[in-house]
Amino acid sequence: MNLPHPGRALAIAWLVALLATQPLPLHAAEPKPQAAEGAMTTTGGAIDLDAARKDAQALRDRLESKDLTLVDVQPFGAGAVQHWQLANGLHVLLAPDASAPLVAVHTWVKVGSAAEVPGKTGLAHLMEHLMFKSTKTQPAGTFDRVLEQMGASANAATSLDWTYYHETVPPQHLATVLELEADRLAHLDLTPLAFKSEMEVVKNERREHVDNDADGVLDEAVMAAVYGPHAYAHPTIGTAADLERLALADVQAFYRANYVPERVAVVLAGAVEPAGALREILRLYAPLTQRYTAENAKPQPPPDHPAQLDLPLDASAERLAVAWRAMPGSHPDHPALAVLSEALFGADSSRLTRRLVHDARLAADVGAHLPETKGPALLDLRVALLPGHTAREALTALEAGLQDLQEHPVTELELQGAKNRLRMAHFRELTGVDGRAETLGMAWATFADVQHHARWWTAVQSTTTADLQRVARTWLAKDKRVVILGTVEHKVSVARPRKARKGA
Amino acid sequence: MTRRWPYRSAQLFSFLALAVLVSLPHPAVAARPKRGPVPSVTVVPRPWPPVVTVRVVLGSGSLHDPPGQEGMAHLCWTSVLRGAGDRDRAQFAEALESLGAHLDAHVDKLGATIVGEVLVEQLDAFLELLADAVLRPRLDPGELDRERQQMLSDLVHVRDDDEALAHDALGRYLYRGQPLGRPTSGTEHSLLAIQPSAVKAWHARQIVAGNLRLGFAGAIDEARARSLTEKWFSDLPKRAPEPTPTPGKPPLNGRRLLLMDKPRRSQAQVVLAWPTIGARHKDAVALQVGNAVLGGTFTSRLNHEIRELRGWSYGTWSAISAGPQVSTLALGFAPANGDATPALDLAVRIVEELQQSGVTAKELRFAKDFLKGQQRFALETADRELALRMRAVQLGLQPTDIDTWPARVEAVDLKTVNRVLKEQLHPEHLVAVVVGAGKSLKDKLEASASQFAVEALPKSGAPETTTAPGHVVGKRPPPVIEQPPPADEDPATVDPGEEGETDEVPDKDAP
Repeated sequence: MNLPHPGRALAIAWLVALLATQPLPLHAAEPKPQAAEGAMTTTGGAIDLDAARKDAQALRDRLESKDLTLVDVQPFGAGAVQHWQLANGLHVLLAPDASAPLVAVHTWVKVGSAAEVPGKTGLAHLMEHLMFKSTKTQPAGTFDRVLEQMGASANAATSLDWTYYHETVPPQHLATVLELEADRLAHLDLTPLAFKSEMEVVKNERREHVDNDADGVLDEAVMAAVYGPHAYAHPTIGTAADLERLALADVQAFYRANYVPERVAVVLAGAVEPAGALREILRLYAPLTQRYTAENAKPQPPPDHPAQLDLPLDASAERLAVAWRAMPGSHPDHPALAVLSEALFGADSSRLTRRLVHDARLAADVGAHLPETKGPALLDLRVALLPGHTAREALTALEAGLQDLQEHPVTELELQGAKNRLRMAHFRELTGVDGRAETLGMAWATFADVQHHARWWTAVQSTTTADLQRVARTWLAKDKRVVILGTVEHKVSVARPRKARKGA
Repeated sequence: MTRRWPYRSAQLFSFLALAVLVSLPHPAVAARPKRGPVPSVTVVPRPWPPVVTVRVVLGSGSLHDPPGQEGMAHLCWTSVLRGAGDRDRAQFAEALESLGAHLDAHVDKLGATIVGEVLVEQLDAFLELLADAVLRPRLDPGELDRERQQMLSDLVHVRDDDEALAHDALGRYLYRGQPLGRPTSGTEHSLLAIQPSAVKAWHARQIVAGNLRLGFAGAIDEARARSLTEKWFSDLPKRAPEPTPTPGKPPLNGRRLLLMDKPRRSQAQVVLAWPTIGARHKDAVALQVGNAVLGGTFTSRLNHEIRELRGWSYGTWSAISAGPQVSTLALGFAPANGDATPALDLAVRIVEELQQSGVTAKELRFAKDFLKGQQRFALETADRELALRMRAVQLGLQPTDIDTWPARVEAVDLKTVNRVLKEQLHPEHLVAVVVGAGKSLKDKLEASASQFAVEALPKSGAPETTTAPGHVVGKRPPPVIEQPPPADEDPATVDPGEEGETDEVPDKDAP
């Protein structure tokens, strides 16, 4: 049963009211060719897409700015997303929902650690940290202080293909946040003092999440083994040696080259009134003139041969990592491989999780992740072994399970369960305004395709058991995988109860 | 990678803290029994997305564990998901997960929560499974044994997560010898002592109408929630629930520090805590205001001094973990080995200074705005609001607290917050846990200006079995927080030898 979403109706009424009071002449470029009137959203509802597009076109005309182009309007969540672009190249994504009490303000930058070169790893992430320091007009600490005074949440993250900054604020503070974001995009003041203290913070982050964490050590080993010379191989946080070498001048050059309007999208989701928001964005961002000057190295392909290695860990229990070299997130097989991963590893009752955890009783936990990356992704399986058991035992059990898959394909029931769980995850992503902005921003930054998520989800829904069998043969082949046996020197065993009774 | 520590540690605490902030049992409507006693119901309706979150809160947590059987509540409430009604474990998991749904059990001192979410069209089938798990779990000896093995395995795995290890040890060390110091997850010894028949008997004692509360959030209205509750959770026993043991008098006996040795670590996890007033206390709101200044925000004193100025830690925080009568005020950070002692000394000085000199009018204004503003975020989604409402009820707060929260924060004046800080910060009775390279840290910690009595983890591995007394420190004059020297030159040009003490990464062959 799908319930109607009253927020959408309110949003449209809001737009209509604005149009009635502020009629403005037509202007700006034509949007892309329109789809048929009416569209299904990925969450199962129907929206009047034609009306939403007309509303956006009327808004564009009212704003009467030569700096603004309406790129497209598409279904999104329970409503629609408007995609705009400024003359300087900056993208703007608006997903209004008048029923939301808050607005998520995201700034997505199309640069991540994959843009770094050997010897300068960690730059993109360090840059992200330094974006919270002083600007030419605002002293250090202003950004956090202003946001926290609103009771707002603010943070940022860096990955392989992107960096993003996110705040969630009450709508009356939107203009203030946009002002701060535009200011640090153009006028960051990178000082020796800020560089020095933040570099220490980053080194401590690395110590905490990599150097003193067995799972962090394993993560880095997996990426290095899977990707070899490819830029995804090096750690986003940077190698310890590179963190010692990076200089303030490196960060300044990185900022100048990459933090430019044409590589940035401002994404607003939730309690946003499009006309007012676009006026503010035009005022703050249209004057920015920086141009993209980064020099991109020619991408190196990852190795194409299988690998297996032992990795001694400072840990109490062994871990197994199996990573299959997979496809970019935009590849047509990506959704089916995600469904297959869910069917095999996604839940307690999933076929291979059940085999490793409950039948063979080797593992405490099993998890798999298939990221959506611009370049080739990996299907990354991790098995946390029960104390006393080895990663090698788990690998043997896993291989038997995969062999069995060839003779006993995923059933319709397993497929439906996997789809249902992915559907729940889809709703979970879109429930809060921050998740909506993240979904849109990531699709834009990674694939330059705001509709990527909707397309991906549609493909998931149409996946068949035959698709799963085909992707299993193609992508879970032994010659595509890297195996790392995370071993421990001093194995710990778990005691048995004094009067253990087996069975019921 | 995130730019900054996303309050991971503090989420543990702030979740409970927020429960205090937005306390609130709103229209927690007691369902009208038709077939017999049913649990009370809280509903937070939101029409979109078409998903319903259901929470079952049981008022029996680890404070109800029988002596010597620590981990009983945990073992029981996690085992109810291993087969219930006419389904064994595999059948139960398959039935649940084919709906796209999941159920998770969480146990703490006060009670247990079983929470799950499901597509609205599958709600009825989901509630059948949930009711079976709560009311009719199989608790088969074989599955109980497997769950026990899982818990024993978790006790091993937690040793690999220094932050989790420090948090787990902190509560047990702070409240050693008291009910609050008993480990919720049990110990190897206590888990092995629990018999299947005892688990079944314990479950039977706890399942009574007055000990269960249900909550629904999302695409459901109150009438349907009530009707479904009556359908699946009626005819519960009427007898009174077992009383919750009182937590005991908070220990205040000097400064002591537990050092948990991880020989190869280049970084230490440091957490400090002391007991303070419970969520029901009249000064609880003022203490939240004071905590926001201490370490509750990215611009707090701890964050500014330890992270922003010195770069000594990725995350620095303080938070109040709320209980009805006794709460815990804790703070933490993770410095490199060479910075561990100076960072600990600095944190103690910051607490001392705050206790003696209080907050400024400007800080008070900022903290009040921050806390009032946070309420909107805490209530943004239906499932988050439901969790907070139900937790608040568990803490025994008043139904009107959610509405009055902003006004109560605003009413805190400078005189009150500084009185409360003077009364409730106990820098002379700090208890600390440090997880790190013991060999290189021990001497420095013992010689530190903070004067902690340092002790090692006993062979039992149980922090609650330590016995060393705390070090009594006398009253000291208000401390002076020294500022780090300005970095007036590009650090890239600075000789590494001038940067002070480097990390001490012990030789890999060290014992």
